[in-house]
Amino acid sequence: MNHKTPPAGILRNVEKPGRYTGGEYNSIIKNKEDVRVRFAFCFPDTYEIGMSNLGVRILYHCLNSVPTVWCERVYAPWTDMMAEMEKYSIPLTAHESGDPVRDFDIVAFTLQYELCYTTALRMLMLAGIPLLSRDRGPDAPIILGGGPCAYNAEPIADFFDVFSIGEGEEALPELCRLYEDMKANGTYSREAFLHEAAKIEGFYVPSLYEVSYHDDGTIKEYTPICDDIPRRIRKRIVKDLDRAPYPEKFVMPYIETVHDRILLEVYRGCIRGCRFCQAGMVYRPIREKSPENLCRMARCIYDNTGYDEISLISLSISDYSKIRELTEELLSWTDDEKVNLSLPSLRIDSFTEELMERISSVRTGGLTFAPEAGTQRLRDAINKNVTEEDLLHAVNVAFNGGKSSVKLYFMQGLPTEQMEDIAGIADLARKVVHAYFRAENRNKSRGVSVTVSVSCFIPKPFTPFQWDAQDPLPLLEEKQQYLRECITDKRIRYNYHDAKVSFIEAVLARGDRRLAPVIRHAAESGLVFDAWTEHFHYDRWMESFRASDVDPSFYANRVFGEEEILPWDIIDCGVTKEFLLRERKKAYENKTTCSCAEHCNGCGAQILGGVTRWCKS
Amino acid sequence: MVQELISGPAFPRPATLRVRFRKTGNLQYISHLDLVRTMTRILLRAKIPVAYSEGFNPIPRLSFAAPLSVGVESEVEVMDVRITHPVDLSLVVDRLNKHLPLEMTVYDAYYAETKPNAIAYVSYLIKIKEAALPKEERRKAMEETLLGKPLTVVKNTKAGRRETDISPMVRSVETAIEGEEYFFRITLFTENASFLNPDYLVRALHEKNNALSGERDREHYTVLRTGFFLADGTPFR
Repeated sequence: MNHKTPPAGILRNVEKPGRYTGGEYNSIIKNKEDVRVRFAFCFPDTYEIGMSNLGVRILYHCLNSVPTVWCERVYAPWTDMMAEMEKYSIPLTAHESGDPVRDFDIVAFTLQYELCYTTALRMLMLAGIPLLSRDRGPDAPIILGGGPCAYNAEPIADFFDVFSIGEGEEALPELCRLYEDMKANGTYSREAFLHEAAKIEGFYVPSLYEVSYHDDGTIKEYTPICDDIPRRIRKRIVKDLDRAPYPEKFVMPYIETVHDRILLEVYRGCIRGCRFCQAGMVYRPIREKSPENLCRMARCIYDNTGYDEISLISLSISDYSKIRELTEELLSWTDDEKVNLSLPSLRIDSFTEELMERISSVRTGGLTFAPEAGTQRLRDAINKNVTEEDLLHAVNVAFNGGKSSVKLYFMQGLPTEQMEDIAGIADLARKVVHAYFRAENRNKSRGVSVTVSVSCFIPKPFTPFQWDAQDPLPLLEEKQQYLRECITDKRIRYNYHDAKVSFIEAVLARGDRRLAPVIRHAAESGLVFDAWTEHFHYDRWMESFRASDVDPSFYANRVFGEEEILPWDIIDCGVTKEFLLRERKKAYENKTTCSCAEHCNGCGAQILGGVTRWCKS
Repeated sequence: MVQELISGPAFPRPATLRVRFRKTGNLQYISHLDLVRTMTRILLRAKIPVAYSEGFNPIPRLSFAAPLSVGVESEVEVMDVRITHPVDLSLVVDRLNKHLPLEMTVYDAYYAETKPNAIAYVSYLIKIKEAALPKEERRKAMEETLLGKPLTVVKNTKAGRRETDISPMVRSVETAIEGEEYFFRITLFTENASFLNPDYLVRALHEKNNALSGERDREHYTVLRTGFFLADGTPFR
């Protein structure tokens, strides 16, 4: 194994040295002589978090299936290791070869959440790669961004050469092929390559689009600077998920990581159309994998890894049209082999006795339900089509099955919300407590414990609420205190997070290119790992806004006009603005929209084609 | 595939398969708990007929004779696995090695006849490379430190930091200079199945002889466990 790690003297002095050593079983080592494209896949957070990401695993497999491409993994070193690296001038390296990231051909970042932006920039700094796209020399690697945040990449557009919008299984190998061909026939230069990349469907090269602004600060227009590139970038999808590449081997970490189990992706998209949810919109159209394919894959991955848990991954597992068939087939061998089956993302209205009995992880784990809002009025407005009766039925099943504790997720600051909706959260929690005492087969030796966990609403691009403002910070905090006062029952625990974190997220989620200097200032002043409570510094973020003369509430707390050009209008995710506007109007009228399974609501995603489950042409 | 490995009908009670392996290089940084988890998966991938515990949450029955601390390599690790069926011993080693990363190699597998508590002492090889070249006087001074009575180190225990005299655990010390490194060949007694972390000896050298006090990227030390022995001096098997 030809790989170099930091000097032993340093590894002994940092926490969890196993994060940096590499050499994991199933990690892919290739012969450099045979490789034409060195691809560094960077996850802007720690090893333990990065290893759990399914997208990286899928793309690692896809890219390495191409003989001339070698895709390696890179994770953010923890702060103690970063200090050592800076002290001894050790550059950021990739896990498989130990080679410095700056020597790679393509360096990609998967952008899973806005708070990872400073960490991504820090990794570029550690690698010794100039932060701004325009500052990179002819030999610098191509810096590529992808993942959910690429749907509005404008705040970080200045730092990336190209973005991959949508699903990368086919797009990334195409990009590598373009790179390889241009290098082979001598036509490669950064400018020429990026121009060609911009012509491939799903790739957005920000430097080829100019933005202009009105006097009031809103966007005037986006103009492509060449006439042979698209005006809007349409996302890529894998048309037939059953034929899509999927890893049969997972890189097995030595140290303990999050979600260390077999991840089986069951389907993409969501039929429900909850109005706050970006994932449910941008992963449309809904495409399912067949149970036969899934079972075969599950067995194969189990044989190759020895994991003892299989997790069925999707946005809403019970909405998979063949869920019963799939679970029956999997349970036929998992019980014998002592493998647990885990079904995360279960909707309240699909929680049954049968599930409790059959699925061991449901029996033994904690139970979480997400009503999201405290009153039916608000649940209707956000299109979370779940009633109080559904919730009480579900907790009844849980309590009769022996559970004595349950977690409830809510959001506050939702559009159309009034204080009585906040009070409604406390009422609902209380009703759940009382339901416990009505459950005849409850565990009488234990008391009941209900945990209410409330996060702050963040308006997200490509949702019906993308125009809505986040509540001003003082109001968010006032609502948190108000709910605290409403909850008097000692059996109800109330958890909430720092609203300031949500505020920064909201700024970045709906931001535009004028945020680049702010993010740069934040990263250069040392902000990193913003998603970690101990490393989040609101005051220093506010410093960065001041230093760049940018008002953050322009992005977080302003209602955007329906006629306004939005920073993410440059991207086409399939779902139309007309649909989103219709849904927003219905929200304000407290009207619900049924699921795709009941009938097609014409969101527009079917234009992307593909082997879809529910779309009607 | 499972059929080849299993060489007979089920045992009336599970037997103990003893697997000897090396854990070196970067693998010294994975903790004992991580090792247990890794080995469990390897046994499953290799389809060894592992016995499970009873009860609600069955776990594979594995145990390790002497946990290895993070930062210590070993050529002689001992893992005992309870198995339900006899296995073809000549195939087990190869089968396990197929599923193992390069820095971990299984070199022997046999039915255990002794218990781990028969281990009386453990041998280690500590190599220290300092920024300055090794000198004879320094070697002598460090040897004297390790043979000193008392040999006090600060141990971090649940009760807090405690000064302990570890000299009763030190059975023998031999030092040498080889190339640019100091070599320390040490044997340590085990006491009630407790194994002293040899890193304490390195710490003692650091405190009393100022070893490894310079630039961390130019200094280097390795600690390698080299053998387990019974009270009569014969190797543990």
